[in-house]
Formats: sequence, C-alpha cells, structure tokens
Amino acid sequence: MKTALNNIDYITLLLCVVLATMGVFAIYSSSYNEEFPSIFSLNMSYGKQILWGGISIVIGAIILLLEPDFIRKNTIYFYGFTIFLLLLVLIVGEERNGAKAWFGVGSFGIQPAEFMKIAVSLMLAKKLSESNVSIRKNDTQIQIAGIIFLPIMLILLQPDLGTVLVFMAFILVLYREGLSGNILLYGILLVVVAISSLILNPSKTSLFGFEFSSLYTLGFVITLIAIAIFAYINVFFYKRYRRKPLIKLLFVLIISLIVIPTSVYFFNKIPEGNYQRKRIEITLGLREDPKGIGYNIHQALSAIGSGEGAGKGYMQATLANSKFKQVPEQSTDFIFCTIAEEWGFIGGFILFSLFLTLIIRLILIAERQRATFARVYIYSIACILFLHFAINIGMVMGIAPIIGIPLPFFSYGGSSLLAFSIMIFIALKLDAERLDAFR
Amino acid sequence: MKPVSYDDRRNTILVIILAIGIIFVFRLLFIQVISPKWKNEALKVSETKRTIQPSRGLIFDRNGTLLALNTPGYELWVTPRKTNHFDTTELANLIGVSDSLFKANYQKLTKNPKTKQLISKKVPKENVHRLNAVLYRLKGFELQDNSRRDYPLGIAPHVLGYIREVDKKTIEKKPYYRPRDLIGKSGIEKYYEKILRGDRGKNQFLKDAYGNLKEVVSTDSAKAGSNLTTTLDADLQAYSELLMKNKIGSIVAIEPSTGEILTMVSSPTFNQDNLRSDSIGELFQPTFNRPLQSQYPPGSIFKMVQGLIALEMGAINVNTTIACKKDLVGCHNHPTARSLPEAIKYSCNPYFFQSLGFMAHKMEGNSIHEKSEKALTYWNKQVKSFGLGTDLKVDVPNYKKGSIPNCALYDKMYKGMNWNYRTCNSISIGQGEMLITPLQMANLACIFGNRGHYYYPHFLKPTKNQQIDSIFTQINYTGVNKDNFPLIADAMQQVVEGVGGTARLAKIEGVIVCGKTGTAQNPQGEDHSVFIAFAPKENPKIAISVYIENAGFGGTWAAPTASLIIEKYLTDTIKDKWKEKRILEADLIPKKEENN
Repeated sequence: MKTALNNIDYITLLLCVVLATMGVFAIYSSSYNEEFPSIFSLNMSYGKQILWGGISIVIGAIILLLEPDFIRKNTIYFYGFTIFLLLLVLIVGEERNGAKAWFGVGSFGIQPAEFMKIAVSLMLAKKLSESNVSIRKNDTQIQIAGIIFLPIMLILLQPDLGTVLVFMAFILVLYREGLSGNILLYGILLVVVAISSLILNPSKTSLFGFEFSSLYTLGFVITLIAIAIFAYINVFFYKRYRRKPLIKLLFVLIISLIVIPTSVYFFNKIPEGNYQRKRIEITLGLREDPKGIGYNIHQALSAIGSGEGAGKGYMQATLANSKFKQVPEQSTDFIFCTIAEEWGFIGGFILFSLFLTLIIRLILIAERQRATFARVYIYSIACILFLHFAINIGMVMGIAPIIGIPLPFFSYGGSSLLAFSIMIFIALKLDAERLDAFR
Repeated sequence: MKPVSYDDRRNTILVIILAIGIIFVFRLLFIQVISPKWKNEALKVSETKRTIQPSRGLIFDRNGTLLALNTPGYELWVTPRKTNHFDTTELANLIGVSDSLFKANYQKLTKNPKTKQLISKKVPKENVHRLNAVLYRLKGFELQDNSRRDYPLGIAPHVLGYIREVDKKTIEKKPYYRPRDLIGKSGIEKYYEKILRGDRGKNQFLKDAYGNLKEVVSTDSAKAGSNLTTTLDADLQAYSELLMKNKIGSIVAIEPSTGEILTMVSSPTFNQDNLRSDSIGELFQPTFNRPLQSQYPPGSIFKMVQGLIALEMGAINVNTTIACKKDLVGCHNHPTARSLPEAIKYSCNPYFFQSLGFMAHKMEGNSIHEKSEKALTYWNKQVKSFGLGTDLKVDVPNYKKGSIPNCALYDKMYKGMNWNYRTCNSISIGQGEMLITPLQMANLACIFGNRGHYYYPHFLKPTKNQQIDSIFTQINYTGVNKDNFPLIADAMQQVVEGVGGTARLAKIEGVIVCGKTGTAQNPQGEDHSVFIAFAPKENPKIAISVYIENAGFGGTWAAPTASLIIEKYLTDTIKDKWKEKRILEADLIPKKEENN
C-alpha cells in the first residue's frame, strides 16, 4: 500500500485532474442554466460530471489498492465480461443518436464500448507478454487479430463508427511491438495519395497557356519524388544494398499512380448529392453546406474562429454558449469550440500542450517498463488517448470527418470519464508496481 | 529465437504524435488568427441587425399649419413554420378581424411556411399595447412599424407630392435604399427627399441558434428627417382649390417681393393614396401638374411684354398711335388706341401685330427677311429675359420650360423659304408658336408688380432653422429699362378699373388690382380663359396667374377668380358674395358628349 502510493507517477495524475477540471468548467459554461446556477447541481451536466469525477477517483483508489498481479490474472475474465456486455447491449440496449450502445440507468448511462478499449488493451498486453510469442509469427498475428476484431465486429453492429476508428490505435502499438513498419507506411501513403487526388480532381493547373487536370500534376510530382529518392539510393547506398529499396520504390510508385485515377473513379461513382458523398466533400473542403449537412462544422468553425488570439473570456462566448447554443453538441463532442471561443488561440494551444504532454508522458512511462504486459498496456492507452484527441480535435477543426467521439476527460459523459480514469489508474498501478519485480 | 528489440520505434511514434500536434496548432492558428473568414462567418451566424427607420420630416405651410405628417401604424407579420400552438381567437380579436376570416387567411399563408408574410396590414391602434404584451409567447409573429404618411388637409397634392415604396431601379441607383423603404415620388416629397427622410439607424443583436434575439450589441440611433416650412398658404390654397372645382386649369400665386409661391393649384386634383380623382376629374389626367407641365399659348397677357420690347428698341414710343386694322387680325370693338397703355387697356390685337413690323423695319438689312430675322433674334432674347420659355429653377421636380420661337424654328417650318414678320406676327399677341407655363405667367405678373425684376419662384421658406438656396434670393432683371414699367402698371390698373377695360370683373373694393386678361385661342375647342394680376398696385403682396381651360374670354372667368383669391389673401373676407357664388357654382368642364 505504502509503496504503491509512493511510486505513483503524480505528473500523469495531475495532468488528468487538470484536464478534467478544465472540462467541468467548460461544460459549466456551455450548458449553464439560470435555474441551476450551482456548479454542483446534479440536475445539470456540470454537477453530474463532478459526481462522475468523484466516482472515478473512488474506483481509481480501489484499483491502486488491488493485489499486485490482480489485473494481469483477471484480464481474461474482464475481456470476456465486456464482450458479454457488448452482446447484451445489442439486445437490451438503449438507442441514442442512432446507435444501440447504451445501458440506461435513469438519466445516467453506461456505454460498454468505452470499457472495451481497456479490455482489449489488457488482453493485447497479456497476449504479447506470454512467452514464446512473436508478432512476426503467423499464429500470434491471427490471435491478436481475433482479440481486436471480435469487439470491432460487435461495435459495428451498434453501429458506432467513432469507437471503431479508435481501435486503429492498436496498429501503432503493434508497430512498436515489432509489426512491419511497411504496413503503417503504405497505409499512410495510400490515404495521402487518395485524399490529394480527390481534392485536386476538380481543379486545373495552367502552365504556359495549357490547362490540364491537377491530377497530372500530382502524378508528375510523385514521379519526381520517386526519381529523387532513386538518385539518393544510387548515390548513397552501396551497390549490393540497392536492389531491395529500388524494388520497393518502384512498387510504391506504381501503386500511387494507380491509386490516383481509381480513387477518383470510385468517388465519382457515388451519385452527386448523395449524403455520404457530401460529407466527404465537406471534409475535403470541396463543398460548404452551412444550412444542411455542413451545419455542424460550419457552426463549430465559426465559434472557434471568433475566439481569435485571446478569446472572449470565460462564460463570454457568443456562439458555443448555453445562451446562444449555436454549436450542436457543444458540451460533449464539440466541447473544444467553447474552449477555443472563450480562451482563444492561447487556450487552444495550452489544451493541445496538456494533451500532448500527457500522451508523451504515458509513452515515456511505457518505455521504462520492464514487464512487456505493462509496456504494451500503457502504450495502448497512450495511443487510444492520442486517437481520441486527434479525431475529436481534427473533426471540430474541419480536417477530419464528423465522427462523434468525445475529447478525453473534457467532454461531458459519465461513462467516458469513468472509462478514461480507470484506464489511467490501471496504468498508474502497473507503473507503480514496476520496481516490485526486483523484490 | 533471439529477442529483437524495437526500442527505436518509440521515436517514430513520438514523431507522428508531435506532427499531428504541430498540424493542429497551425490549423488553429489559421482559423483563429490568420484567416478572417471564420471570424466573419461567426458574425453572420451570431449577429443580426434590425434597422430603425427614421421618422420622416413634417411639412408645414408658411403659417405653421401641418400639411404632411406621419400617422403611427403597425402591421403584423408571421413566419408560419416558426409558430407554435397559439390561440387564433385571441389573435384575431387583437388584429380586429373575425376568427373565421383569420383562420382562412392564416391557412393561405401556411402554403409558404418558411417565408415571412404579412397577416395584418393595420393593427388597431388601441390593441398594439396588448399585442406587444402577448407577442413574446407567440413565436414566429413579428410586429412591424409602418407609419403612414398623411396629408390632413388634402390640399396641394401636386405640390406636396406623395411617397411610395422604392422600386428596384431606384435601389440599384441609390444604394441608401432597401426594399420596402419609402421614397418621395413627386413634388416636395421628392425634391427634398434627402432632407425629409433623415438617416436610418440600426440595432445589432446577438441571436441564438433558433433566431431569437438575445442581447443588444450596439445601437446606432436613427436621425429623424428635418421638418420643412413651405411658402404655401394653406387657407389660400384650399380656397383656390375650392374655386377651381369643376374647372380644368391652374392657379399660381406668388409673393412678388420674395418669389415665394403662396398657392399652386392644378385642377382636377387627386388623392395621394390612390392617385385618383373624383369621377369627372378622372377624365382629365388628374396627376398632371398643370402649373408646371402644361404649356399654353399665353394669349393677350403677353401684350405688355411685346409693348415693352418694342418700346425698348425704339420701334414705338409711349404715345404711338396705331389704327385697329381689323383686316390684319380680328379684334373687338373699341376706340382707337392712341398710346401703348390704351392699347393694353383695350387689348388691341392689330396694335401689337404692327409693332412687330415696326421692329423689323427698324433693323438694318437687305431684305425684309433679313430684317425680320434680326428683329426676331432680339425679340427672343428679350422675351426670355422675362423668364418666359426659360428654366425658373422651381424646387419641385418635373417641370417644363415652354418654348419661345426663334429663327431656327421658322427656317425649319418654312424649309428655307423667306419667312418674315408677317408670317409669324401672331407671336406678338401671345399666340402661334409661343408656349409657356402658368408658373411663368405668374412670374410675369411678379415682374410687373416689382416693376422690372423677379426672384426664382420657390416653395421653401427661410426660417430660423431653415436656409434656402442662394439662387432663390438673387434678383433677376429683365432686358427692358425699369423706367418703362410704371406705365405698364398704370395700364394694367386701367384694364381693371378703366372704362372699356377688359377685366372689370376683377375689381375689388378698397384694393387697387392691376391685371391683364387673355383669351388664348384653342384649335381643339373653346378658347382658354387667362388672367394675370398683382395687387395692391404699390408694394404688391400677391401676383397671380389663372388659367382656365376651355372657359372662353379671360375677363369672364379667369379675372373674377383671380380677384377672389387676391381679396381673400389681402383682406381675408369676400365682400362680393355674388361674384364668389358665381365662380363656385360654375361648371366649366368641357362636355365631350355634346361635341360628338
């Protein structure tokens, strides 16, 4: 007990508490109700969020007091139980925002998918820490795929696209644990080429009086880069090492040049005016629809933009404010709008810094673990936090598609706050135990 | 199997995380600080403004009588989609219509649920307070100010003009105006639009996502339009309009010492609300502003000008005797005019006919044509110096200048043939190709009253807080020696008072009236009855022109009408009730059916 408390990484804990506190104040501003002016009022979201914060701390303390190795030993049961909850929610769950993802208890709700992230992280950690397991081995890969894709299938049935997207975090973890980096690289390359083709498709480049589709320019630029890399390899590599990277380069070049026309072709297959097509076009910046599908993002960007450098002051927002309600979901998924409008670029920058510090701190903690179980788990939650942060902030700033996932510790939502707290407390517990191995 | 370490991959992951962080920081910096786009979008999204219409300036007559004012009024608008459940009976009561009518009307409006539509054009004044009190819970309904312009006395519509909603063309040309704004369309309302309208203000509001106004951000108060004091005399105007009832024509009365227009009547008159007249008046273009837009031959009132010009040139002298040769031109029976004043008193046509010939012969030239040309050029210049056929700069839009014949006109008419004074000598008696407006005739009376000068006639009266354009205070002289004017005034007095004078019906007890009749020939029908006068003879207070279409001899109708107006203005009573009754009851409207 004594050692556990002594060895807690207080910086991480403090960062989380600061974020959650800032979150409560942002929620208070964005959903303030004159009839319930107290921030502790349990009738309002801010009071509830504080209550959930309290519950989280209690549960966190319990986690810290658990027997060493309790978590590791019970991982398989936890994973199984959460899978069971996911099945159950499909049958008796409550539908909110089109997804059957909630167990409703009065006005409080629990979302099992939130806890599934923890369960998968633990399960993955357990699997990879087993002896005689290598990520380069096929049977290990199949087992890992099973651990990750079983819950993904169940969540897709709800359907809750946002949470599924967060599971992409595990690619980073697996990469760290030895998965071939090429998958990551090719994946990123493919997405970048496809997106740039779609963005450049409608535009034209004019050169010396000739006008031609910008897609040709894109292809031309990619080829130029390939030639440059080719030259680099030829100059700086010993002859006998050249073969492999040159084949790879040629492969990537051909794939890229094929992706350009095919992505455009398939995109154009979607009929003009189709809802999904419009969503993609809005995200790519090819279309604005402030009255229709683009309403949310238009309102969000307006609120953020109006914050300017220094913001309008706390509770002084004129868009993302309880009085004006110009931003939809402004206390949950779009909570960043309130921060950005009231605290301006300075506030946004501080928020980004806090999140990045937390994530990097977690990665550094993970790296200092001697036990594979702890390292994989802490890496997993760092990457989950990172994906939540990246998707949520990218969404409200208009550079990622509108996918409703909360900003960790900030967005109003009891089960989200509780799940993230448990995640962190488990990490703190594992970290605190790292020295025990020597006793 | 040797365990492989992938520790260096930590750095790759950290780079990815930091890269996303940096992209986010720059994106945020772009949205909030660098690009103004979203800041502007935010203003569009969160703010809305409501204009405050300035109240239009009032218009007064010279004695402070109100001629134009704004009657407050409210109209109710509704956007059907925004409404929630409401009590139709209560609302119908408040806007003063029956429940069933209201329901039927509202049903029609729901066909365009998204548009804001008018549901009541005139909310009863007594209900506005109560309506305002319930409006906060009637979502989608909006009470709007629509003050009406009222002209309480119903006089001088041609002078005051009227206002209407601006049309698209005007909005394109004048960016101040927005749809549904009101703008002066004619008369003083148009000429002094900028002064009368004031400047609109606006309230900037913050609104919520549902369009409800929440907070005032800024207020820019409206600047009310300035009031105008006109030179009109409301009583005299009303009396003149009364006299002109059942007559077609115009009356213009001016104060000679200032050029202030006291009265300007165009008959028939019209109603500013619907631009219509009574049933008889409808036949005679009621909105046509005869004093300014009608161009008539002046008839015999021109003879004083002709006489003065001939005198100035030396073609005749004051005591020149010219025989009344009726073979030249028709005349009535009168003693031979042995002087210019007598010729004016008798209105002798041959006298002035021949004076034009004398002028031509006075000129040097090889042919009669050449001499006539020189005489006409001189004549044209002199006539225009009397303000005839020229721009009198009156401060009401859309006036005509008339036209005074010149050599070019006759060259064109006779296509190079050698015309001479004999072919155009009817211009010497105000007939033929000469056309002038009744305003110019009244101005002519001013010139005789002032003994040789005039001010541009105008409607704006100088007061403590109202300056008038300096053009209206400048003195304009004629091209004729001032010394010759007194004898014209004497002659005009004789026209009214002397034995054989043509305007004896214009005589007023106790006031010396100087006048001149005219009977303008009208090829389309009965002659027009014309009279100009000023009174009293010394320091005249009023100069007047009366032009009654198709009424015949000038002395019969125009002269007594003018005298009644003069008497009313100078003494405020009418002694000769019989004369008044005769004019009031006269119906001089040409009966078109009888002609057929």
